[in-house]
Amino acid sequence: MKRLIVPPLLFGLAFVVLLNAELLEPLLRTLFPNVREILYARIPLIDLFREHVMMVLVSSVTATVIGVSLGVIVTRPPGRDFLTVVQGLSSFAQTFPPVAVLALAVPAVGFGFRPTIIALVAYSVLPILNNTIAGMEAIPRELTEASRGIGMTPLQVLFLSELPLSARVIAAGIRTSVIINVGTATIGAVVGAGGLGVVIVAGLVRDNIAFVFSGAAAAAVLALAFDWLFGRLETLFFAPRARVSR
Amino acid sequence: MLPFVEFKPNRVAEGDPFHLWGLGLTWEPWLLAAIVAAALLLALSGEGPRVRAAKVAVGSALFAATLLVALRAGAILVTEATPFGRVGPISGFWIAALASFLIVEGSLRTASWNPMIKGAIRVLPLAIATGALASGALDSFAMVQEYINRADRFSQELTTHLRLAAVAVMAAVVIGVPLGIVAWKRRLLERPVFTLVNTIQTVPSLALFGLMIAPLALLSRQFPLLRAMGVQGIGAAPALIALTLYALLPIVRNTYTSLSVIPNAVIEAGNGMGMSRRQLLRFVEAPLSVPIILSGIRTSVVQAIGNTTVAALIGAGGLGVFVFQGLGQAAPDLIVMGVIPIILLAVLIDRGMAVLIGLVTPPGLRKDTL
Amino acid sequence: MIEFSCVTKHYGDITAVDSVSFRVEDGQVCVLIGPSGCGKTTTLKMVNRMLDASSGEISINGRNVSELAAEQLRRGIGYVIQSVGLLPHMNVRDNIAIVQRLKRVDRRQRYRRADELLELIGLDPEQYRLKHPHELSGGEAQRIGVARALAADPPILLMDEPFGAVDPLNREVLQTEFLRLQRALKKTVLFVTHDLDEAIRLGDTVILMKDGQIVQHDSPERILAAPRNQFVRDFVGADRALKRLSCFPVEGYIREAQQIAQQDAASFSNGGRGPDSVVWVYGADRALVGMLQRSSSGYKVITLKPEEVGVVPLSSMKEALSRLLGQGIRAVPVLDQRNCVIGEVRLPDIEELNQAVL
Repeated sequence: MKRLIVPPLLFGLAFVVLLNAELLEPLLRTLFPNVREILYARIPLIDLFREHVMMVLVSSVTATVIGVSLGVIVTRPPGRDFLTVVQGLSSFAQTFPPVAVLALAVPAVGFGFRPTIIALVAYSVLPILNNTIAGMEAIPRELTEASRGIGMTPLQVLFLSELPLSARVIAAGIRTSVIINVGTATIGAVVGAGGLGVVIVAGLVRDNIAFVFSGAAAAAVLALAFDWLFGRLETLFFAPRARVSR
Repeated sequence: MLPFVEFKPNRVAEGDPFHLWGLGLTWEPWLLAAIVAAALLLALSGEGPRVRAAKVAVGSALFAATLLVALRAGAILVTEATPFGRVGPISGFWIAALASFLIVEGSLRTASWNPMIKGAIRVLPLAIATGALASGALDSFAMVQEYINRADRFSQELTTHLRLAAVAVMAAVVIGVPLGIVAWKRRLLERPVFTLVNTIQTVPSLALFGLMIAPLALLSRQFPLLRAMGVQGIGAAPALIALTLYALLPIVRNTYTSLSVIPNAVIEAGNGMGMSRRQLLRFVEAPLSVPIILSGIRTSVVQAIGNTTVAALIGAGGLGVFVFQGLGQAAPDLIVMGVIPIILLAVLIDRGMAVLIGLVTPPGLRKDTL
Repeated sequence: MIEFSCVTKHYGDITAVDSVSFRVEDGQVCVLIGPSGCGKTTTLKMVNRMLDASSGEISINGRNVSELAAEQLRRGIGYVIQSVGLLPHMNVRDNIAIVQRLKRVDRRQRYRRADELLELIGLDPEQYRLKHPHELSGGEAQRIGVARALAADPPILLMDEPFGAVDPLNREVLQTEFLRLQRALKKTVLFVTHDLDEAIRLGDTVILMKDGQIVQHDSPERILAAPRNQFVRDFVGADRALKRLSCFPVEGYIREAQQIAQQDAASFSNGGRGPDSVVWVYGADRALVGMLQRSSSGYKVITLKPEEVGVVPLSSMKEALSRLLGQGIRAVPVLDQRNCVIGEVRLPDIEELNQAVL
């Protein structure tokens, strides 16, 4: 119970302080007494925060849809020919640094929100795809066989047995993706995508530690909050077997 | 058909796209078309070792021909009249290159050839490209021009990049391996250790770099000695610390795993035959765990190459300098010039580590790590 | 009724099943047996179209299965496999009810049916319905597998080595359970096994296969008593006389047993009965606790564990013999579900039965 209440309270408190100018200012003043311009005035932090969350959500949802569908397709009989190739390419492409993918999106589609989303989706599809394939491949053949044997249609086999059985592994892939996306979106500021990286970059350019700190802290808390949330969801959805009837 | 290359009269001008047949080339486009046709034909002709070999050959030929056409285009478009002119490969070129990669890689993956031959085939296009670069044939290419203009700076930043990543990973090994062992031996410490390294890895890289700045700036102000050693808020010091922290998780995790996968029975058997502590380490524990720890280091190095790119933002240098300069100046060619070596580094190091891990893995445990 | 006529199955160049024809009558258990690779499982899987025949015709109650939609067909046929194949993310009740869910039976009805089936297979619904498969023993999981197959009350059951992965003691129990259920439900069953004792004990008819062909299709007694050729003789083995005992359930050979309450044991005197007789001793609630043994100073009680010495009416005579030899006693007690002695099986009867066979 304690683990359900304390972290959200801490995250909530951190967000309230970091995103609220009136509360943030005194904090920064004590931390950095020598800095003259203490608050990033151009855009309220809360707006950048919202942009950041939007970028992560849009790209993660898109990547999940693409990654899971692709993973499902290449594990069906018609798509099976491509399985090894897709698997190989996807783990190969994962060695590309996310920031490289982000940078390459600019020559391809220009500056702004769009290339960032494209780069985030392109990169974060990979862990989801890999995990979907891994999850599907790990299901014992007898189980899908048995599902077929009791009269499930191929779609029912997919939705009633294969996806639920691999959900845990897929969810872990989504979690990885979301965390990567929070990080890459921070760098998105450099290509003009907005988000919390804007404050950090502005601080670096103007040599203003207070800016850097406020942006970095907010981005860090955001990533940790996402990670915690996914951890909770995982235990909530995938651990009931241990809780029942004991 | 998509435009193949573009021509820019100078660095900042908009490029004019050129199609394959719009370049005034004679036989080269036809060669390319013939190879594409052959590839399509092969794609339809099923499986088998012969088809696979043919696919690899055609794929490699496709790459060579693509490069050749681009080269010839450069020679035609950049003339005496346009001394600042430069060509840049665009969609058509990239798609052809990607297709050649997919064809070759796709058939190599399923082929059961000698790993040495596979490796050679994979390195071949790289060698061709490097050769073309060295011969000066690619000089009219935009990114190559960006490189030529910065050749000294490039090798300097490349060295910085490699040094930062290498030092950080080495430090992470020195800290991470004992940490993993401690987490395994002392059950009480397992949770805190993993919570810590997991949390660090969760924090966005740019944010972690940012968070390093303030305390280091403070320290450097307080202690002149540190400042004299070069520790400041921005630069190499915070970058190294952040990179090291970042590299910890895979190493700690894999060290821990490597210990947990050694079956108790095996240790017992070793003890039972009268092995000393050192012999146990030498004959039992190390052969089983070193490959796993190495694959943790592999993950860490590849990540570090990427994160070092970001470190350029806090003034640590490295190849990220070109990328962010390019982004700042809205100069795509410069961006590509910075990004491609970074990707190549990541990929080559990943492959190299895979080979190394394969070599140190006892034959009985070998899987295809390539 | 399941009918195969000239059914053949090819895998590339290999012929797994070669022009097989046979028929399983309603309410009968037909066991397919043979060495591995003989085509028995392939034959079974063609009935519910997990595999499609290359040629020939399989019909159920006169309808050609290839004319039915595979999924519809399968929902009307119970299917039990060796690995059970319970879905680990669903609890026992949902696992049993899954076929009815596919058939869109409403939830309340499904769950009621699941409870009924748990009762039927002898597991307490209160205790089991919310368990997950990983909390079950191998034997329990296999019973749930049977319950799932029975959920939609299909007239036909296909069982593919259902007890193959269970330890011998539990297999014996599950076989007895199967006989009890079959007696009550009268399903038409096609059953694959590689265990000859199981085939003989459970089958009304046995089909022995080799290289995709039927070598002998007969009653279990005839397979043992009149092997058609050398292959059958070898397969049946030198101990076929012993195996034949598997054909007969104990229930036909129960003799009245002499028993006495524990508190009276001390005062027991042999009322002039012959030396062969055994006296069973029961404790509170009349459950078996031991037997009397003569010693120099009269009689003393030897403690026995009912589950180790006893058989039930549906056990085979072979089982009775093995208990008899294992315990070194002259008779085995036949017990009911509460471990009360309802009679005994005696060695002379087994000997007599054995001689009648040969």
